[in-house]
Amino acid sequence: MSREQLVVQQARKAFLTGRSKPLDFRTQQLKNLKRFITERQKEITDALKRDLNKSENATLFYELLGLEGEINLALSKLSEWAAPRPVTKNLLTISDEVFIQPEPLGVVLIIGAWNYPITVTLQPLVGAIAAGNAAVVKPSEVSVHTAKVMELLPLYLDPEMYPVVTGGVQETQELLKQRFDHIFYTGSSTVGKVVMKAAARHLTPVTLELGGKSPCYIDKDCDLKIACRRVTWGKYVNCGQTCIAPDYILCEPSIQNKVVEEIKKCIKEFYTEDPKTFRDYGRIINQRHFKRIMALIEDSTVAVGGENDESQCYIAPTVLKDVIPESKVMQEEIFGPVLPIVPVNGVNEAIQFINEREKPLVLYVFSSSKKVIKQILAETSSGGLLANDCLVHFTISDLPFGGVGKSGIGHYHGKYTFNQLSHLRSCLIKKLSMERVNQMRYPPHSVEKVRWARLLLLKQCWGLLCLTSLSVIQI
Amino acid sequence: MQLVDVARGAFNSGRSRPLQYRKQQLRALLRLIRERQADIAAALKQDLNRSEFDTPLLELIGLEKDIKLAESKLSDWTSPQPVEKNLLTISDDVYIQAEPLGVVLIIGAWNYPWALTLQPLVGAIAAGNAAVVKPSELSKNSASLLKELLPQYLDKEMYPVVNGGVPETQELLRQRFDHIFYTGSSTVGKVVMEAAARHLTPVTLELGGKSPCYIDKDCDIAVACRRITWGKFTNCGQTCIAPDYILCHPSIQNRVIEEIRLTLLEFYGEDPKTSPDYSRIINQHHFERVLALMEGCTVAVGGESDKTLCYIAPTILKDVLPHARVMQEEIFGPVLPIITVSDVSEVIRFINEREKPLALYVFSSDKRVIKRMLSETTSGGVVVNDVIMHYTVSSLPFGGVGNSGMGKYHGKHTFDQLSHHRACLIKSLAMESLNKARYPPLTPSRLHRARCFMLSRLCSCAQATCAWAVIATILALGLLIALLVVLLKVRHS
Repeated sequence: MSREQLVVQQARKAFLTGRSKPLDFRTQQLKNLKRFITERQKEITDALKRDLNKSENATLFYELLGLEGEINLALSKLSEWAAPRPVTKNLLTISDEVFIQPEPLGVVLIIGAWNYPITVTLQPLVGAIAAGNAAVVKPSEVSVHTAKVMELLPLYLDPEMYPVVTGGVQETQELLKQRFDHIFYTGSSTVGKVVMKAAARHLTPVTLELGGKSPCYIDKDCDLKIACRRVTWGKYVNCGQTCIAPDYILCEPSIQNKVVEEIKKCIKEFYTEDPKTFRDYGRIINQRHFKRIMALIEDSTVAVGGENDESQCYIAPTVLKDVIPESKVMQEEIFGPVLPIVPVNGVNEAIQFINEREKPLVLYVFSSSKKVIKQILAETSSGGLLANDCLVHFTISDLPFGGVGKSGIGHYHGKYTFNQLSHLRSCLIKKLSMERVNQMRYPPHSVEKVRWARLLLLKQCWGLLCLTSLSVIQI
Repeated sequence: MQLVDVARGAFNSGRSRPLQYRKQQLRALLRLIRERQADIAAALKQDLNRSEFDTPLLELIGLEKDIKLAESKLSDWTSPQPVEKNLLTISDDVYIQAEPLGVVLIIGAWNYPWALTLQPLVGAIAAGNAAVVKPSELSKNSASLLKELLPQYLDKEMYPVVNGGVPETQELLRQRFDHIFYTGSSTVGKVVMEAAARHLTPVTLELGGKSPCYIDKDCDIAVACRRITWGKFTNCGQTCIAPDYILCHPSIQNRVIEEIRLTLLEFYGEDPKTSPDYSRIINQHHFERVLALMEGCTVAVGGESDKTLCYIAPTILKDVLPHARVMQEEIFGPVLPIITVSDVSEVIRFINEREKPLALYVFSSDKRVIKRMLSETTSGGVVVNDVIMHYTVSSLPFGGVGNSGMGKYHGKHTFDQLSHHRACLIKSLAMESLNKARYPPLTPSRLHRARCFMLSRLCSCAQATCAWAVIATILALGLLIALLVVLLKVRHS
């Protein structure tokens, strides 16, 4: 038996003991998770510095703050989320108990990503714990130091219920052969297909948080200075390695130079004249991705930046101008600090451009015109839509976060994670009395009986009268 | 496949987006099932020997209900759903907007060929999608009637019907859809999901399994058996949520058998073969399959069969053992095994040793038994003291878990399943100073400020308003009392 098989078996055994069902247990585990990120903050920030050159403050701000918020939310709302949810009754069930009962699914597999390794691996875990599941956590091997820190989780959480499995492709493939009750994967669309195919063998439902090229349309009619500021922030955080980073800009040729200028100014303001020496500017995760991104800019015009240093996996914040749709940089998700500008003649062409491509994870629109925003909303589709800012929809727990089409399946955050990793069981509790009412459904059938059934099922107000009389009249 | 391209072209034209169009299509679908009820009943009689009364009762009334619900609620469902604001988003528009997915593939089943093919279609239409409808080839009369009728009532480019067998279905599954809705067996469910994985297409799989039915000693056995008999033998047992087998204490087994036998007599007469309300097995293959399942078991009631008519009498098997053939697969026929168990703990163990079922039935008057059964097992849905009826409650999501399926539908749930719920946040370009905390260089003071903001989101506006309302009321009361005191003092002096 492989190590992965054993771990999954143990997790299932732990789940079957039933100890993850009581809310007390779940609350305790969530509190322990919170302790993990507080007590091990130093190890976590060190690891992220080594993996992505993420500054300590950046880790606290972009990874731990959000996670803490999710844990707090789950702790405060757990009893509400886990309680039976009454639903609207119909006439036939008026004296019955009709509700939806959230239940754990069983053993969940969580496959994390390397760009925000703490957030995207542990936020799903919060929901898995809250929902009463066991969970096998597989951090990305690419963020090698953070994966090592996650191996400390068993010191805080129930180690059988929430084991951590580290390793590469082989270990992941071995895990994917096992049977889970849900698989939560964050990463690329290519691997997403592999995960879903493996899940199909066991009829395991999946949540796939994927990516794609998230377009950012900057309208003529808007405060370009502020727009560019927000775009610059959204793009170069984590060196562009954010699934919801604005991938490329669409704007009219007449404002292109102004956009370039404003972004250049913001880059300087945020990251100084020499981002390479600046603490808050990250690095590309590894050589392979460094080379990949550098190759993307080969056939385009560099308007800002372009400097790089392979030995450090450093790429300066870069803007490309007059980019054409056929260029290399427009063929795949960039996932790096390179911002192409594709000139378009107005919002209609922008919409056409967007719709010719795969549905993105997020669509950004910068405009002061409600009409433009409304048009883009109505004529495109994307996982999420954010007008006049970048990234921040991620922080709103009441908004479902996820993709559509190639950018993903399912969604999470806040209560959505809980629901995604629960089975919402339909419950109908009747009594053995009032058997007369059921006469209309039993054979031998007649026109009369069907008429009564129609009345009760379709015509609500008449049905109420009939229900009362049915207890007296014999059909 | 051409029809799929045509459907995509129709969807891309944008004409399925306006609510007016969707309502029109829904009304047309309603007209179809009302005007052509006789034809539909005739097709079902051919396919399954379905009685003309069972057609509206089991298929069309439910369908009509869903259509009417969708039509009346469409504007509600499609309008932006505002999300509770917090301090950070107090001046923004935050909402979830339901949008069409695109082209949906609906693969129907043969046991309720109209309900199971058209109910998902109602949701697809309501959500603004195009839909390729593939009825099951096993219920061939219904399939060819649907192919003939649907284009007469609905937009035929937007909702094409594709008929055919395995090769045609495989060809369809090679195409790219935005959602696949499949009703049928777990085996084919896996094939569908694997095909969907190639395009990252989300799926809804309404599958099956063995739905257990526990009859407690403490209950009105006569009524329980009556309800079970109805649920089991309707449509000749070919119902995904039919009680598959019974679990009960040995001391009540004979009583259970007797009650069911009496009920069968009442429902179908001495000779169910001649009853207009008793259906047939869909085809020879399933006829032989179901008969073979009875091998090695003790027949307590029924057992008669007629190959030429695909007729199997309502049959009860007693003292069935867990390893018997009939307990190895979903029966999907009019054969009801009874397995004796000693207590509720054994029932729960028995159920949990097997795949999660689509439905679980419990008959008991003991609240403790019901509570245990509910909390110590899982299933798609659960009904206590009846069978099947959760299917008729539109507000309950209908679907399986584990091997019995993924996703859910009925009523608004179908609309939700076949929509994309797009998270929307509309901010303004003002208040830029608030954003200062997030921009580099990230200093501890900025971080602290950001922390305060982020963690304060837990204090929602509703709570804040509530707190203010309480404080304001107390203040007002205090002021009122003070005023009264002053007035009184003035009066006295």
